[in-house]
Amino acid sequence: MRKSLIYLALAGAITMASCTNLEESVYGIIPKEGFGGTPEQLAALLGPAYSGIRGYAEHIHNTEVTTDVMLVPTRGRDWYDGGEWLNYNRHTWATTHSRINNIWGWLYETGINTINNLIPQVGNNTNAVAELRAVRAFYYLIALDTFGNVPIITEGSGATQVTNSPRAEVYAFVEKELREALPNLIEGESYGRINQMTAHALLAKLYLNAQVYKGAPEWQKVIDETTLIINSGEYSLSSNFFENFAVRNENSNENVWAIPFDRFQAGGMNIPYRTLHYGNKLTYGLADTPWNGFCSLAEFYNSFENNDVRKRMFIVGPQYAADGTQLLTDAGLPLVFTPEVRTDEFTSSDPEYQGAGARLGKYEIQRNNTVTDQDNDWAMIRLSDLYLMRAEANLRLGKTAEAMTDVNLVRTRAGVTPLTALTLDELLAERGRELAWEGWRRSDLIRFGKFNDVGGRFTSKFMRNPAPHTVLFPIPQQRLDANPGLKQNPGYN
Amino acid sequence: MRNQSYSTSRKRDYVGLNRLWLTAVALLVSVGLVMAQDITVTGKVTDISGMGMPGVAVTIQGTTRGANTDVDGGYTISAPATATLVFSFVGYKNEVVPINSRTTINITLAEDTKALEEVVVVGYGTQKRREISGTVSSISSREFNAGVVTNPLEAVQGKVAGLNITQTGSDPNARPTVRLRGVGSLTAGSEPLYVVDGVPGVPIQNISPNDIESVDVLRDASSAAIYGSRASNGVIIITTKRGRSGAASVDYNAYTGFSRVAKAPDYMSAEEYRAASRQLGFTLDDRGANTNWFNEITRTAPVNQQDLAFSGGTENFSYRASLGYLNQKGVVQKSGYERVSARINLDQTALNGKLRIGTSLSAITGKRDFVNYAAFAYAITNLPTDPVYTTDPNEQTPSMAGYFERLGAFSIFNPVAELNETTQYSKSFEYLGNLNLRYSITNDLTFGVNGALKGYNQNVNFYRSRVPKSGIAAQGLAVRGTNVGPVNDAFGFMPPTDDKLLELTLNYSKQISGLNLGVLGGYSYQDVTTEGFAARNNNFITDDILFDNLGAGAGLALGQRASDAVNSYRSNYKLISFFGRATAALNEKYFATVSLRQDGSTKFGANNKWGLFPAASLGWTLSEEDFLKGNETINNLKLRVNYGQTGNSEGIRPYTTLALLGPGDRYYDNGNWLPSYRPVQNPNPDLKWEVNENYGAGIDFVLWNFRLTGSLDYYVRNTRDLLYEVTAPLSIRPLYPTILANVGSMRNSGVELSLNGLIIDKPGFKWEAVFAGATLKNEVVGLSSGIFNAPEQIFIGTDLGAATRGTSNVNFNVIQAGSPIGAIYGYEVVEINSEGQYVIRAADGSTYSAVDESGTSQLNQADRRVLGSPLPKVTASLTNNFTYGNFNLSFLLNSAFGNKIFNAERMQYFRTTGRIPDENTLRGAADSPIRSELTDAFGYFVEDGSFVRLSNFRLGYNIPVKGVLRNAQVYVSGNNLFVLTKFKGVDPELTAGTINSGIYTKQQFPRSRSFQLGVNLSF
Repeated sequence: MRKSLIYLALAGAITMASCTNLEESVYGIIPKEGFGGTPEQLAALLGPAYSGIRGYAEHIHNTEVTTDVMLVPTRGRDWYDGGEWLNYNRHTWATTHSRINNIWGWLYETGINTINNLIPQVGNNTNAVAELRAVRAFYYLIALDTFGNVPIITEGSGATQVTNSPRAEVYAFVEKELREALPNLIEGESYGRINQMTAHALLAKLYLNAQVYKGAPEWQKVIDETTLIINSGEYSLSSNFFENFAVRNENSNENVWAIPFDRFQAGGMNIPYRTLHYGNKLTYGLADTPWNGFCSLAEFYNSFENNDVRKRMFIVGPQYAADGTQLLTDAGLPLVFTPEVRTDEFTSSDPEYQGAGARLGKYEIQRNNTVTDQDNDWAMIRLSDLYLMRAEANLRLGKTAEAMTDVNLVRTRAGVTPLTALTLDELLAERGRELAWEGWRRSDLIRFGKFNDVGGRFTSKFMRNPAPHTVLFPIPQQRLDANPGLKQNPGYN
Repeated sequence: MRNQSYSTSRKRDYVGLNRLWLTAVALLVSVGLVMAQDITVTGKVTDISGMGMPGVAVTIQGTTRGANTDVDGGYTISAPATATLVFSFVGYKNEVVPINSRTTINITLAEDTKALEEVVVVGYGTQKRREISGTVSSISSREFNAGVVTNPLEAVQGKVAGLNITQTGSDPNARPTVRLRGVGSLTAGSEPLYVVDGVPGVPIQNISPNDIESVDVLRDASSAAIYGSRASNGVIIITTKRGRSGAASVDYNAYTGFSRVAKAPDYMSAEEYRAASRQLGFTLDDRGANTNWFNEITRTAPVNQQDLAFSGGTENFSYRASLGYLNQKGVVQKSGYERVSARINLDQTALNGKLRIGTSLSAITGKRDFVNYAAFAYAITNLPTDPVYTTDPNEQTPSMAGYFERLGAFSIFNPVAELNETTQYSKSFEYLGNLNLRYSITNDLTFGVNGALKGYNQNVNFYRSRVPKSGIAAQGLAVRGTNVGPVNDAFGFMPPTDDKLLELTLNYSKQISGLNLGVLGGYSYQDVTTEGFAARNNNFITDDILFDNLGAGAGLALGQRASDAVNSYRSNYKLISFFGRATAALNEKYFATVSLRQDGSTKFGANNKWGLFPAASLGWTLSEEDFLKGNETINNLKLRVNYGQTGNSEGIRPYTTLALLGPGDRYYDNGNWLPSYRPVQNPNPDLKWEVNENYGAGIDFVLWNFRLTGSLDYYVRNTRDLLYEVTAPLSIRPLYPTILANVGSMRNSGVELSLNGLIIDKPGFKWEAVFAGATLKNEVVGLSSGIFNAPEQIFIGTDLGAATRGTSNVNFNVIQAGSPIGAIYGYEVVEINSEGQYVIRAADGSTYSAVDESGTSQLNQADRRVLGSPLPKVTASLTNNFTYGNFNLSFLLNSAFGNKIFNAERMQYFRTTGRIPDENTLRGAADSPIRSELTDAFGYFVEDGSFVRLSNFRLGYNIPVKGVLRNAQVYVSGNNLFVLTKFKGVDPELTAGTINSGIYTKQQFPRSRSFQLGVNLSF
């Protein structure tokens, strides 16, 4: 008995000694260290740098909706969503606006810090590092544009409290990153990725807004960068404007940078669902029911000449099912999309509450779709945009003739008569017609000084806040709470 | 014979460490005693009503010798003429009778209502109620609630002060929410730790209450701290029934009954709807039907439960085996729960009584039929003028199955089609086997080994056919998985799939004159794995295959499913613990307990691997002091004070603290879409358990010749290091917007009162009442710590159900310092003005209309304020038991007072605009003063959630029996007979104690009222 006791005690002691190990046994996920050694692993690591950019299709709904080209009115009880959509268009957003917080998260977590985390992991692969830095520069460009005075965090930043960098410093950082990355980026075609031409285009976007970003213009640099791309001969304007936004638009020769989407594999491209009425499900044979939210405004709709090919980007008029039946609103009235939007807050007693507003049909609607996402790739930067950017730079430098040539190239493709005179306002209007809902309208209006122009030609009639500080979004309150070193943008409290 | 069955305990606990040494002593002494001169004593043991009591243990005091009474209560025992006999039976007072050379001794046993001699199960052992200095409540199976009681929690609801068990609706598959002494955590789980037969962390929802001997609730941290990092929300210990030596007995319990919807939501009939449309001047798209959609999806639901148990034993061996069957249909079409459970508990004594072996084996299978809750919303919002079925091909889905559907409408779906055409059930299998060895090394020292294996496996099947409107897109969606949550409902219940436990204990127990000393030391190792997989496919060309041949769908071939086509997971953690406890009782007057546990978990961050949890409590029985001893009024009076520190680590998933890579979104690579790899979280190497510090004091009393027993407790629970997903500071280079960190602190305090009174005690008539009440004050104290800062206000939204539109970023609850957790938050409404608009009180006290004359909304979020707490200030329950002759009546009243409910359903459906003619609305909405369509948190809809409910009743009759039948009872019982409340919704009882409690929505499983007819037979 004694013996067995001793054995028992011994067994116990051994068990105890071996069983105080608290290392985790990890299954299904893998430690960071040691991954990335093979080309396939490296590619898989770089994947998130790009998959995150698909968030841009969401992002444009946070910026275009602050302008004259897009609106999400409250329609009865639909789309109230705590008033956040109204606040966007009215420029009355609070620092706690949840969607503005989402923009920050997209930029810093999905984008910048994910890439900061990747750069050491790809090690001394110069090309990979260059490409990652270029992608990061894209996120910083958006951050510079939306929040302005944002903290600059790189793979080398220490784990210290983060503070804002002045906007001009962020500008310089984006320029430096793109310039340094450029030589090691892919030359030539590489669909969906940032190659050398894309980097030049991003630089052009940066320079275009230099006056806003750092207080001094860089018009000549805009001309240089755009000219380099235009003259490369790699891109040409599509004869059919809408080819660039088709369900199968990957062969567009006009898209300098496109973000690939796939309705099953890589969702997020859902503009048709955001804009079409519930009943349009029966028009386009959709399996799911659209959401009847986003629309455009009559003032913008009317800025198109009737023979402008691009005017077909609007869906207006009575709506029918595929079999020709008239569609009805929830109130049982015939559904008619009207460009006129009388108010941004409809009650369901208003007969037009579900039909008001021209709908966004620029991106081809994928018929008989079984999911809410579509296959259209996102046209991030188009050649026509570069023409208009160069035109603007030339115009601002007084070279009106050169400017007019570029503008008329774009107009001709749209089937409208060439201009014989060009003013800045006319150029801004042209940019609106050509680039609406592509995500550039907000920075265009700011650059042209029209963003806070209450009652002006280029601002939504529902915009009611002339305060100039709204040209920057507030640093989200949650981020300020989490980062005591961050300061709020001026004008917000 | 097995010594255990002669103990004075009301509960026979096989891990009764404290009494183990007594066993050894008794064994030794008995050897000497059998040598003395014996006489034969016979007699009969009866209960107060004169019924013979079988199975009563008759022992010779100071020995292990004894006998059990036969089926008629008779016994025969051979004993020394000078010896003393002890008669004991579970739940009855012991009788101690000197033989005095008598050969016939008849005894009547009285039920034990004093409960002072009862043995209470505490962690890793038992203690006498008399000697306890912590705060522990015990509920024996005799006290369980009547009616449809399918799980142990329903059985003890309303029995323990401070234990609040709530559930929204009567889904047979819902799990009640359990909160002990307030709310312990923000989001990391506030459920108590469940310990079944000594095995911690066992899911208890499937255990049949008929297999349970007792439920012990460790309410304060001084008692719970022995369970360390998992005990912060209290510990509920379940002890299953075991066999006892003596004649075999067979118990058969069965009931059958039905449930109906207690109260249907109050929506308009077709005629009322037509009238309302005319009144309001709307053009109704009237299809001429007269449909009550709610009735179409509900039913009278049968319930049927049967339990068979047999038990018995010899001197060294006892057994109990049971089989149980439950079939409970829900009041909503297709919902239901079916369970078969089996349990075998064996006890063996060996090595001259030095070694005791106990095993418990249980296996439970369950089939759960789930329903899509969206159907409740559709049943409410669909037009009563629409038909259920149609022959018009334009108003059906392409499947042409005959269901009427408004194809172009956004939020109108035929709920009958949704339910009928979706098959969703899970089949679970769980087992728990444990082996418990107790070896007495010396008289004072016992070595124990407890080993347990636990498994849970749940197969989930889902198929939505091509028929309903929601099925058009997928064209048949089939899912099969193991240990994944059901696809379309809220009960993603996934306990660990494999759980191994090994515990070693040493127990020392010594009596030195007036001092009872006990010391426990132990080591525990628990290894927990959870794993599962799921596969799905869609696009079937027939609905006949369901989920039984996933490969038959075309969805995969067409590339329609990406990362969710197949997935699997596995996670593991280990919990390693050292623990110790010392108890001292001096002269049955002064009591002290100290305990210490050190927990190490693989889940904790590298910088916080081990946690230490100390506890101490003191007790003083004043009634044993000279100045009170023998007092006629005060039979017993004890003061208790306690302190303890416990932890909560349930909210930490394995691997949360590590930097790991996992598959991310797809990326485009030369025409292919490949899975990317990316970090799966922001690692937090400092992550640790939540710390709960508990101070308390209490008083136990027994008054008026044991007629009134009770206790009064006050406690303060300070919880710090609360886990919350906070916005990640940029200094840590976050890869996700949030990080799980220890940031918050919260405080709960309250007074608890338990009373048990024998109000009338006449031979033919007895009335016993049991009261359990508690107050609660909960307050969030802070939300930041170190580099992690949650916002000053965290707003919490609530899904208001399917067919709800425009409520993104509309929040109804807030977490903020100084307010109770999840306080209801919104706009104070002063009145509804003549325009039908809400008049809001601004932060500065002025008032304004929410919508101005031009129709522009003016709401300013800065004007929002706390509108009330969803937590009841007082919860109370009252159980009454009446016995008259052979009749017995008992009922339980449950109540909650002082909590607020935001009636979101009324906010959405009680207004003249914005519903008709699109959707059905609440009856009376056409005459509502409200003409605003704003969907926000308006205080106008905050209602008092107080209620009193008759939760359970039971009327039984004991049929006088003889022969082999020992006991026979028939009864009728029922649940939820009535509820008294001012609340305007269907039922005021909502899940309480989460961050978004107290929001009443239209999308709820109806609460039912049920009646049963049952029989209990013992042979």
